[in-house]
Amino acid sequence: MPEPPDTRPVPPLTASGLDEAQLDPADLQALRDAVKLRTCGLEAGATFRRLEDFHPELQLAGLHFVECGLLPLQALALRLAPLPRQAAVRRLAWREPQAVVRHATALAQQQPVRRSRLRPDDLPPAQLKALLAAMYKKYGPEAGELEIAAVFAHVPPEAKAAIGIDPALRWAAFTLPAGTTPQAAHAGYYLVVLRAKNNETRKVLFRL
Amino acid sequence: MAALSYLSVLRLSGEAFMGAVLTVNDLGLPTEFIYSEPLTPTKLQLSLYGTTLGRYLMVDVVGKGLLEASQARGVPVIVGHGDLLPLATRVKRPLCQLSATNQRPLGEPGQVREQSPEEFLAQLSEVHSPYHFRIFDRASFPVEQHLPAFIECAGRFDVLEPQSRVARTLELIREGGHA
Repeated sequence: MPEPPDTRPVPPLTASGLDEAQLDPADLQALRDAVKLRTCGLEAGATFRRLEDFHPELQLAGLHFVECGLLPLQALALRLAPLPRQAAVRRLAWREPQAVVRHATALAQQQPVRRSRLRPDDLPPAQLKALLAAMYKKYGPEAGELEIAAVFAHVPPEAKAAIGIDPALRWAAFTLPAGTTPQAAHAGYYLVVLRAKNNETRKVLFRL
Repeated sequence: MAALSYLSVLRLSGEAFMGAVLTVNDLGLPTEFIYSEPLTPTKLQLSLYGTTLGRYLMVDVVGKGLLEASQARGVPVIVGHGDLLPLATRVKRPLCQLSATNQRPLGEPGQVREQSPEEFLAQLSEVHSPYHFRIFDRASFPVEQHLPAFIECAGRFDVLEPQSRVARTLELIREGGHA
């Protein structure tokens, strides 16, 4: 069915017409693109009447409004609302992630410090000799009846009230008493587990 | 007096991260412990950073933030994961990843056997197996300069033991009892 004729009145353009010679090709293209954008908000109708049929001054080279069905009112908007020369650029700002750091040294000092059992040949000969001498000094002839069941190195004497030993003697763990700084802890002390013939065990701190 | 630091960064559920640095003295006793609160990226950050977000948060935000906040300047850092080794280019502290081996001792403490530009074995104690070191590059970890601290500490305690304390303390903080 043929399309009915369009009898709507055409509002005249009051401003002077656009002069093709005053526009460079880049501006023409920008105008063309902007027209397409503006029709989105101007309720472009599904019409294919050519705008330049109504306003000959808009018959610019390469400029066709037929693709977007621009109505005369929209052409007026173009005249009255100048097109931007540049796209409006906005920088998206977002907050950079940042680590929030907290101190918890006291909490870390409450965690048990573990010492693994030394193997028989882990002690240098000089230290082993010193250990045996210390045993004889403490127990006298009874030292000969005692067996060295386990040795744990560098257990500070400040922690002697809070020492735990694995039942299988694989490790010993200790914590420093509250208020005792690590700098105050003494080095060079060895926790020795001695076993008597009756299987009684004794835990002794020796300084070697 | 020798000291060592231990850096651990945990990946929580989703893309959240949490980390801690424990510094111990030559007896393995804590002298400093700092941690970062759980860091959860926003949806916008997830979209913008994409697949690089995890590595960025772990290394550049949490890891770098902790080491810069630490007062243990110049103390060698043992990282819990090899992904943290690139931190060596961002902070002025020597970083390495340490692991135990079952190999025969190399000899006297201080003996080093190179395996690659980023890996070597080092004898830290008299009778134990050598430790395997993994570093970012030789420039960031001069072995001759930093190995003595490891040797001194290894003579008194197991230098891998404090890593378990970092994890345990972080878990306590996550449970919310001590934050």
